[in-house]
Amino acid sequence: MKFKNYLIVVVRILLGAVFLWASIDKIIDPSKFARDISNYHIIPFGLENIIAIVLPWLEFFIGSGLILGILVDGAVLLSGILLIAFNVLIAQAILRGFNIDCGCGLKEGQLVGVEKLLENFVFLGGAYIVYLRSKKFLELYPKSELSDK
Amino acid sequence: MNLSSSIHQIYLYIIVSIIFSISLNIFRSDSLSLIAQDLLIVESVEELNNDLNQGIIEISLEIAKDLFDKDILFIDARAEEYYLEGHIPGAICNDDFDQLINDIDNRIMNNDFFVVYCSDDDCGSSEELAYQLSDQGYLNIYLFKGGWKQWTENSLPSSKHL
Repeated sequence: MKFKNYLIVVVRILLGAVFLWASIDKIIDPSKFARDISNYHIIPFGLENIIAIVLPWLEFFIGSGLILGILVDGAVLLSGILLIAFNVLIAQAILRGFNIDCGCGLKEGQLVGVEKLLENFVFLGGAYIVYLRSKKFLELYPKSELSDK
Repeated sequence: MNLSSSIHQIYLYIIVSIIFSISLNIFRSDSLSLIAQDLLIVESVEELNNDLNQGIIEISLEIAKDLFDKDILFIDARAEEYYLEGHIPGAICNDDFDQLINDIDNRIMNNDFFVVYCSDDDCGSSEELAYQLSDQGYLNIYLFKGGWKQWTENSLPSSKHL
């Protein structure tokens, strides 16, 4: 049982590291991220700029929360929602025949494609495992047991 | 899992991120406007303004053809493998950005006009390269978004040689 708890902590930290790493380049250069978003041709009214400003920091705080074990329930649920949204965006770009930089922030120049979709599904699996954990283990805040498990 | 508690935590993450990121953006030297502005688009040769230091301007096929006839430098933003399969005659291409800068500097001054294109309106790499070159100090960049696809669809000259 203890091994399982440690395994979930490892998955949680790895998922956090992915989000944290993905946020860095976007925080450093939000203009490039805004152009990457624009290339998806789906965001209306020039909203790509505000998304490019806010989303990297959201990823940063999610990643930090998962690594440090702070508000893990919210962080992991939000990470899952974002991963699903990213995959919807990538899938529509693939279906429309776009050969564009995915703007994901993990690997420079990574294009949209099935490989990226599968990668996100792996991360989504990790988020699901953490979300369904039965015990808070090595989490800073909140430390109390989950109420209905 | 207490979903209600999780959703409250999500609100907290979102609110903190919005407040923090927008506050930080205000104080950044390279801060973004909250709403993106479209590039200036020029559709016809008559509208073309040859003022210097005009930044990045999106141009139509008609203007791209006119600039091609005037021997303006074209830069192919696609990967070299696509460039070798066919490109606008006289266009230069280099996967190595530093080498590309050298190639450009060997041909023009940094306030001369040149055109950047990629495969089509959806590729994005021409716009990305245009902004990178603008950051490097090039002052007059025409962005031909119709790109190679629109060029060849209109049976304009092409080349397969370096």
